Amino acid sequence: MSPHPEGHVTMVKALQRRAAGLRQPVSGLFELTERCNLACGMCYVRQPANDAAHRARELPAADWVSLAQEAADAGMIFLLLTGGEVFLRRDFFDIYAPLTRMGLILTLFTNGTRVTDRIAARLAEAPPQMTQITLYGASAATYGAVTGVPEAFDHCRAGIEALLRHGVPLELKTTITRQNRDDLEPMRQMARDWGLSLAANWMLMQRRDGAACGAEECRLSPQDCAALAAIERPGTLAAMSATGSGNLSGDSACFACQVGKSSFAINSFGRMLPCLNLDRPALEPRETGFSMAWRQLQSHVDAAPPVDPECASCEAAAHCPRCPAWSVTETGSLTAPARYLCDLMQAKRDLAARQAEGGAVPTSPVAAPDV
Amino acid sequence: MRSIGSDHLLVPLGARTREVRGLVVLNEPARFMWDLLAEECCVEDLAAALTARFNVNADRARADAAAFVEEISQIGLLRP
Repeated sequence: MSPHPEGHVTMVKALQRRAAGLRQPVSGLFELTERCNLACGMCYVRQPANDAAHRARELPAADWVSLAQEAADAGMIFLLLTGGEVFLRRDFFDIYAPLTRMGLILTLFTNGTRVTDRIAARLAEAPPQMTQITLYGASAATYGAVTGVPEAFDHCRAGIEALLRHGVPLELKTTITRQNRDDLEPMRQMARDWGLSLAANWMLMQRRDGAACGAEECRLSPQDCAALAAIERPGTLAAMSATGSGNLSGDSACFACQVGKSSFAINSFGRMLPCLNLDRPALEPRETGFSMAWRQLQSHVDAAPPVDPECASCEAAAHCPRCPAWSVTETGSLTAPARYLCDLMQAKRDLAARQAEGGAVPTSPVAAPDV
Repeated sequence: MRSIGSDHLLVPLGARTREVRGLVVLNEPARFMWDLLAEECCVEDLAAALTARFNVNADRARADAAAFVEEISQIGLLRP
């Protein structure tokens, strides 16, 4: 199955920027459930699959459909469906099928482990623009270490193969942690064997609800992140080296992303959030109507305090992924520096400087395990 | 047809998503021609309408109309 056509991502970003100028909520994200059948230590949201209390509070299918119609009427065109694990919802297709008739460009995130041949065939009747499956390892042992469910490895492979058999557009991605970092190249090989791409991410955010989670135990060290970035995204490190000053040059808006300008998220209970990593404000589109909730979200974003002066003047700010979600989940403040990211930027600058001086370039994704 | 300002996206519905992949974004002249294609017409008809509506000469209009028809045929949006 072919990936997105060349230029697709660039075009979507350009359309999102244009929508932001118009304050059109063009990109929506529906988190259909927080429940998941895997138990990844680093997850920012997961609730147990059989959590009856959570399931009882989840928005019913009909409410998702009417919310989607309201959002589409207000200008939503791109819609991402995610979880938790979306296929834990037995009524998934009661939500999905009507969405395919609304003029929406749909993307679906899943861990793939519950995708049966029957589900793949149903999806193929009106497939999403893209399905993305996250791989957590290249063996049952690694799946066990990351997700707590070793057999999920075989289930995920079966799900991928079912989607491929039915011609459902598919991309793979992975979240790199201390537990699976040695599997990155084997996972790439798996992807190649299927004729698929694999995108790697290693930036692990804490839970949005503030509950304890294992993100810190799963995160790579800042030095390992920098080494991985040097291999996986060499352009970013080269840019740090070449540009010298990377401060924000006077642009101190709190939300530099499209949140509240052209994008929004709805959590599994039907509350509108800025994004899935921020749980405040939690607006009530079902009570106020979608358009009012969207206006409230815009007001929240517009009234947010400016970036912390320490971040605004930081030489690495333009390269730093810090955002309000990072600050809130690390510090409780919308704007405070996130020290993990400060350390990461320092590690990247050190590495970029060493490379500029002709020093050794990392050749393997990360150094020896430090846990 | 979905719009963001003056950009118009053709978004397939239901089973048509199997046939049309990627984004199809139309500018104003392309959207004008797309609307005309709701009824049977040929490249010459499109070119004449483009000339009348937009400030383009006949040669340019014909080239643009032919290119548009070719492009949407290739991605499965136009059937003979």
